[in-house]
Amino acid sequence: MSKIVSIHSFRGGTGKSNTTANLAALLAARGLRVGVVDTDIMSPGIHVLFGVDESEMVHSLNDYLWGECNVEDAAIDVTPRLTGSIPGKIYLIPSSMKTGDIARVLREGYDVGLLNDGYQRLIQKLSLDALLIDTHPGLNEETLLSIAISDVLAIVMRPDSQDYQGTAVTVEVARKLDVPLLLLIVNKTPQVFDSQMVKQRVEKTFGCEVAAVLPHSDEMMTLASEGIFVLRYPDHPMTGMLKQVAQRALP
Amino acid sequence: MNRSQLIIQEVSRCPAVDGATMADILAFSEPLRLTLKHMVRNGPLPVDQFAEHLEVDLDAARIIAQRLLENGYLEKVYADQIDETNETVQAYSPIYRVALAPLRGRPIPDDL
Repeated sequence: MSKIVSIHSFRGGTGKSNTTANLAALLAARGLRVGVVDTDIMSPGIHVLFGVDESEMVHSLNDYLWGECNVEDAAIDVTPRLTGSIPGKIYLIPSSMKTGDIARVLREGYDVGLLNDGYQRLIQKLSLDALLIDTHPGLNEETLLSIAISDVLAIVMRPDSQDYQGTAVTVEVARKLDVPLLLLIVNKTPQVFDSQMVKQRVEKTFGCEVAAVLPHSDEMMTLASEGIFVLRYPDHPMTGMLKQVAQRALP
Repeated sequence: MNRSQLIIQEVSRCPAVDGATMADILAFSEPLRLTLKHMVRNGPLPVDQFAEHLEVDLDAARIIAQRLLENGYLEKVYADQIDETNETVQAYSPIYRVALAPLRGRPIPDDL
């Protein structure tokens, strides 16, 4: 049975898209068929990590939401672009990077119900084992919908006071919507911090499981979104931690 | 007040909307919130399953569904089907789904 995993953060810049892309790669490395939907329609970006150029997007999630194509028509098989041998598949459903398209979403809105139908259709049409939703930061209609329909909600946060407060809001919403599995990922943790203490503090604060405390990584920063970290650094300790998150989300 | 009466009271007081937002659903109390969430996630429900999720009897479930329908939170997928003989129209239990409100646009400059 396929699972829907939403990767969310209350604030921007937490590394949500990077986490999503890396989890997708790790799941595909296990032979799974994975869909990745960029629902960050106002500020899309995950396509960069998969090496997709704007000019290659024949269709986007925007086109589907405007009734101009089927949702699966917007899917791009990005597996061949990735380094290493990957037995599974990754299909990316990007949001449009065109200024006019982003403005049109702002101006006209869209049918949120169609987004919901689209997730189910993608799972069916692409025979997906997992659908990963890269959400817009904060809480809005589409992030609430993504949270509501998820089997797993991974909230990415930094060990920062603003993130602590924002994450508390998201955790409360997730609990109200009875998300089956709620995981916290603490990202960009300064290396001077004791990761075990951070884990304990976060678990105590939110009363939910911390799947990983990921350190700030110079390698990740140097990669600068020009690739998937776990594929580029398969033996890096952070890759091991991300594998644990993937295993916890989809055992 | 018993469980059914409490839910009926809640849905009778909720404002009429042109489709439910997830924020609207979030604002409902239990068990209505999770029943509506279940319907968003898993699809429409016939009234008997709607009653099971709410843990109320069928009559109460019909009243609750009707109020939610009237107030714009639910819609009927279909109410009637033609039976196999195709000779008579037989009324079946209606199937309800959450009517999600479209995301409304905002005024922004045309030249953007």
